[in-house]
Amino acid sequence: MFWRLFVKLFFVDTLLNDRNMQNFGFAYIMASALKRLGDIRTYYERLLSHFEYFNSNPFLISAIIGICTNLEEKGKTDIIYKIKLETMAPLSALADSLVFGTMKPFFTILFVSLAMLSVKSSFWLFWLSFFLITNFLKIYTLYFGYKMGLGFIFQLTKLNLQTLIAVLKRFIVFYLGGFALLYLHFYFHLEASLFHDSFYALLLIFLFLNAFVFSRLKNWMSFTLYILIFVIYYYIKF
Amino acid sequence: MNFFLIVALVAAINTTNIRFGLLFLGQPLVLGGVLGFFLNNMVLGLYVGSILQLMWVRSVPIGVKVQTNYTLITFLTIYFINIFDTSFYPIIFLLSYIFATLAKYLEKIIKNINSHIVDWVMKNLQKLNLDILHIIYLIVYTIIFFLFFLFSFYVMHFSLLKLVFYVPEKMLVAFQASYKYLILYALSLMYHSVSFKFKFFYFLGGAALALFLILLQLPFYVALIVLVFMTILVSLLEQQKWIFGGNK
Repeated sequence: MFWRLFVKLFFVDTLLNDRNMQNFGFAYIMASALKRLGDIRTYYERLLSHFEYFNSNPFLISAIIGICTNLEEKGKTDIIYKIKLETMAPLSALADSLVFGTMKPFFTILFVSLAMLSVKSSFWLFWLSFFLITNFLKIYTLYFGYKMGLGFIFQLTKLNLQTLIAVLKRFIVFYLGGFALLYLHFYFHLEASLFHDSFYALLLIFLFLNAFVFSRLKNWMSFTLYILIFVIYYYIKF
Repeated sequence: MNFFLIVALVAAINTTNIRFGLLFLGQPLVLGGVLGFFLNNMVLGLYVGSILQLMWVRSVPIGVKVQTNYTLITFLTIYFINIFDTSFYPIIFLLSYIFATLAKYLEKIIKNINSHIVDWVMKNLQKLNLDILHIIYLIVYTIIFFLFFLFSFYVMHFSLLKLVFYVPEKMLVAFQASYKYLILYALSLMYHSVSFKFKFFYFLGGAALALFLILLQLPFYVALIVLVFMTILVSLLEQQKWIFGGNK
């Protein structure tokens, strides 16, 4: 049953909808668990209860699935809805911060810097790192959620994922500062041209503003500004 | 044949973006590498993929807010630069952006179709044989795949792209010059992707270390290795409250 649940986790967002979000995906996964565990008379009733509104992060939804399966097995069906409601938002916030707020920028800066150094395997290494880590997260939380039940919530807090997030965030910014300057020096020699050509000074000022001031701009706006610098310069100079 | 294969590949990757386990195949760097391999132009694929990856690093593909379809931007940009020239990059990028914004509405249509399917299943759950859930999934995947396939196919034949031939020569020269520095522009956007207190000081710390390594006149790869080790050290030491006062 464990592997069946794990495979079905891939389909959790397929019928993502505005009204009930992931309810269908959640019920679809729980259907196979209920089929193995439940009485056929209560099966449809239990399944229908899992069609309630549900929205969480697809990488840590496995923890809730594991806990709910455990509770269904023990027959504690009265608290399942409450547990779902109370865990979906905090776990979603944690996973969003871990996967999208930290791991994605971390692997991006790491493998983009490799791609910039013409390492051709960087793109599939980037994908493989993500695939392995996110699926390990799913397997780990599903397995221990199912084994430990409600106790897994406390186990998750002991893992201290916030510390990992803090370390990785510091890594990203420190490495970015160092790598950007090294790359600028070795591949563009901008600092040599700075004193001979006002254009490079203008470009560096724009890059500085882009990094520290233009944070509210949309991508296409800052991109247009970037292109405008070149167009105006070429029309004035030539 | 190759053309249909690429469009089918992109439609399939777009289908897996949200609908099949968030496989991250649609990330610009991954798709850039794959397309570069298919088009026999790895340098272009990795370069454009890297730029777009850095530009959309903050984007979260799931949730209530529908994001710009960066998979489509990557695909169109690499495909058309491969056909035309790097000097057309800005025009191609902005046109791709428009199409990717249109793809947002495609995503909203898919969500609406999903809502109707889910409502129908909930109403008729007790009458249904549950094997039909698998068939529903199959139907949904087929619909999404064909919607993205038709959209990508239509975009590839969009006549507005012919306008690129009317761009003045001088402007194309300016565009050509901008292409080389795009990676710096994308790197400058990366700074916003993470947020925490004292971020600016960490960035300056990294830059100061790099400056020190440059002044030591170390070769590039040696300097990079030293930088990586120092970054790991600083990230871990800081957590132990040994320097900078620790994790607040």
